[in-house]
Amino acid sequence: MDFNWSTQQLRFRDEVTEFATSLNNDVVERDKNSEFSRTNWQACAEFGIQGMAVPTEFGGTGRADILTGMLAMEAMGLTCRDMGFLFALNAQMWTVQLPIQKFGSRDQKQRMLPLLCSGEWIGAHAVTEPNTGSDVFSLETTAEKCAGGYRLNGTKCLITLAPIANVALVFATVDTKLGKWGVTAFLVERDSPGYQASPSRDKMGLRTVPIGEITLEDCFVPESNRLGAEGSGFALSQHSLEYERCCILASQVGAMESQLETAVQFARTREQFGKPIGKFQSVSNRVADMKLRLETAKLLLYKVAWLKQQDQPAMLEAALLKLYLSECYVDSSFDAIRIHGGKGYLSDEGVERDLRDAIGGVLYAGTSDIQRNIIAGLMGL
Amino acid sequence: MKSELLEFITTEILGGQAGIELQAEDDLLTSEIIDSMGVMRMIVFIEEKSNLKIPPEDITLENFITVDSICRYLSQRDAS
Repeated sequence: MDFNWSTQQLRFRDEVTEFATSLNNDVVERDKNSEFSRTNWQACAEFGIQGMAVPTEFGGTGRADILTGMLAMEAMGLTCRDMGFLFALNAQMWTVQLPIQKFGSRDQKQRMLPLLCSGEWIGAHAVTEPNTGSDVFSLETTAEKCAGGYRLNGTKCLITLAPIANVALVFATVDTKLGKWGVTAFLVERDSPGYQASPSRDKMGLRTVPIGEITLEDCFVPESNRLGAEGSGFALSQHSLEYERCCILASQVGAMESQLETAVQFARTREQFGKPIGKFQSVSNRVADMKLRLETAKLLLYKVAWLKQQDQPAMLEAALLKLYLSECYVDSSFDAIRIHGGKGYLSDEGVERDLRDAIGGVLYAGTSDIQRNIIAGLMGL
Repeated sequence: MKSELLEFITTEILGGQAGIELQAEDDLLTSEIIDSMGVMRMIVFIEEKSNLKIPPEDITLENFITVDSICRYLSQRDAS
């Protein structure tokens, strides 16, 4: 067993860590105003974040395999304090770009990946509907075959980046009788007739990423924009889920590390009753718990990334990771507030923002309850 | 592979539910005999037994609707 990273990987991680500090401008204000930073999005594209896992022929840098990509997104979480923004980056990279890269035609890759990597375009992954959340493959959006393509009808909700996306990877059924085997993926461009995106919805955390609805009314999608074969939406979705869980959560591990460093620093310097508060076991025990959560979550994360790099299935491990890490981030965020006391409750300090941002993690990409169902199911129950 | 698959589905995925006598021509998917998780467990089982990697784009209704169709798909993969 070798936990070492190559010199090249470490150099890339250090570059990313340094770059990500530049994304913290006005983060408190942007969080208050629920404001997405297009400037930072463009800066990331120019640095090569969006294109790190995309081959150079399609506009990326081809610099990162899954392990390196995970390490880079962990580094982003370590120094970038804008978790909503990181969530947006991860959502596009692993749930839009990766499916296009893996399942797209050469024409689709050539048309769309360079625009997404360069920051000119923003992409959204649209699967959730008003009546289908966890029961995702019972979706009701239909795709009816017509001359030259399909007509899509339905509503997608809680879609990350929907209000500003130039293209949405929309899942719709070509035959409701086939259940999940009729689900098909379409790349629907924003200027398609019948496509409408809502304004951003207000939310508890991750406020800097716009989230909203997409309505499709007789929205024509040319056959050339169908991603994969008819009925391949289920397999396509399962494929990207494991990568999504791995890389989205990598940024949370980075954030937990940063959160821990801040908490330790505070516990060492804040004095009460004549000594640093870290000398009181009620405080130091919390720090120890935060460290244990960070290290154990990191091990699960690295195992999933390693399995995917070996092209091995990681359904069970990805579910364990998603469940454990997202719950740990909530617990540690709460502990961080307790350590900081009243100061941690003030928005300007950024400590309470972690807790608001962390709550979303136990809901998106499969709730904690669903992860437990998957784990038990894969154990034969 | 046919008998191994039938046994795996019956005992591991369906948990040996009484009254279910699975046949190789039974529709596994649209009749929801096995759910999403069952499909993914079956894929892992087939990959282990056959030493073949099944790409996500091959996980289609046509290739996996019955045990017979799975065996046909695997024979084609072997031949290619």
